[in-house]
Parts: sequence; structure tokens; C-alpha cells
Amino acid sequence: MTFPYTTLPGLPIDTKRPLIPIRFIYKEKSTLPILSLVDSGADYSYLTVEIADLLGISLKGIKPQKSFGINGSPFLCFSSEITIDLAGDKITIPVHFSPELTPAFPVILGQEGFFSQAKIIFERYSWNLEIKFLEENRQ
Amino acid sequence: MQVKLVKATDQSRGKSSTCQTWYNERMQKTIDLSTLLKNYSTGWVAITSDYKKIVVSGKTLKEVTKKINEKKLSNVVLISASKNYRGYVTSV
Repeated sequence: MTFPYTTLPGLPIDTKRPLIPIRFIYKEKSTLPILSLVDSGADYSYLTVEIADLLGISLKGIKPQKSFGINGSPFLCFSSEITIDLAGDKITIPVHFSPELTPAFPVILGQEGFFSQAKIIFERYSWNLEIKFLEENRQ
Repeated sequence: MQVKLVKATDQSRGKSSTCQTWYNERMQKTIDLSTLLKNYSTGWVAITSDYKKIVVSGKTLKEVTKKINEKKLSNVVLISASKNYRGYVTSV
């Protein structure tokens, strides 16, 4: 599947980002498609705790962990697992829920679990992103 | 984004073109939410799946989802609103 980059408001000029519409599924509940950032530089996938709240995922029994921003500053997160649906293709990935993500990017899809289960080609020269989940991991 | 108009030959495509044309052709392929989102700096918005219209907005994901369900809307995508999506180093 090929997805075009998305132009978003930026200062001083607008910016294009590789966003893809992901539906998050947990047990019987699911979100509507949420535009999610594909981020090859992120070690893990990070989701706002709003998604956990919406899907009824309890974080109370999960020991909080620390992740670190690029400047070394720590932030809290809670490990879990969730199924994602991209245009009908589903895989289950490990995620870190955090209340401390920037509102600009409340969903970041990173290396562990997402990139490791998909063939992902950034074609920034033509503003396209190609993603194909590996057959053995599709549900 | 300002692009200087320079006459050039796009040899990779085997025909004459300008850099402006080359750039515009590629720009058209992107989804452009820059205008739609200009008036939203916080919360969440729901956009029609053709990316042309905002149909619902609200402070939280839960609130927006509830409004969409109440209005029985389908074929929407959600995005978190921000005044500025530029300049982030999102690596975590």
C-alpha cells in the first residue's frame, strides 16, 4: 500500500509528514482511523494514553517505565500490546502508552514491532510511503 | 513554499519541463491539511476520508469519537490538532 505524505501547518512554513490512518483494536473495541506518524528513528511505538482510555485498556497494574527523548529527557510510559489495522491489514504490536507525548504527534509508530513486521519504504523524493505487513505476521 | 522557477530539462522523464512543474506535480500527490487545520490548535478533529472537510472537533479523543457516533458519521479520519507540526525530533 502506498500512502502520500500529509502537509500540515508549520512555523514558519508548512511541513510534510509520513502519516498513515491506523485503527487501533483491543478486544471488542476499536478506534476510528487515526493519522499516525511513521517514525524510523523511534525505538518503540508510542501512543497517547487517550487511546488506552478510549479502548478500556487499564494501565493501573502496569509498572511505569522511562523512555528518553532525543535530548535525554525522560518521560513515563506504560508497556502494552495492541492490534493495528491499516486498510484492512492487521498486525499486533507492542506499544508504550504515555501521557507525555506532544499533541502534534500522539501516535508514533517505531522500530520494535512495527518496522520489524513490515516492509517500509520512504520515498520522500516523491512524497510517498510504501508499507506492506509481512505475510507471516498478518492476522 | 517558494520555489524558484528555473527552466530545466528533466532528462529522467525524457521531456522538457520546469522545476516548478516538476515540484507541483509531486506536491499534488500529497494530502494537504495545512488550510483545514489552520484554525485548530488543540484537541482532536475528524476529517472526511477525502480530506476535504472537518466534520467534528473536540477537546479529547473520547469526546470527538462520541460526537461522531451520535451523528452516525462514517468514513472519517482523526488527527490531533496542533498549531505547529514542524521542527520536532520525534525519536524516542
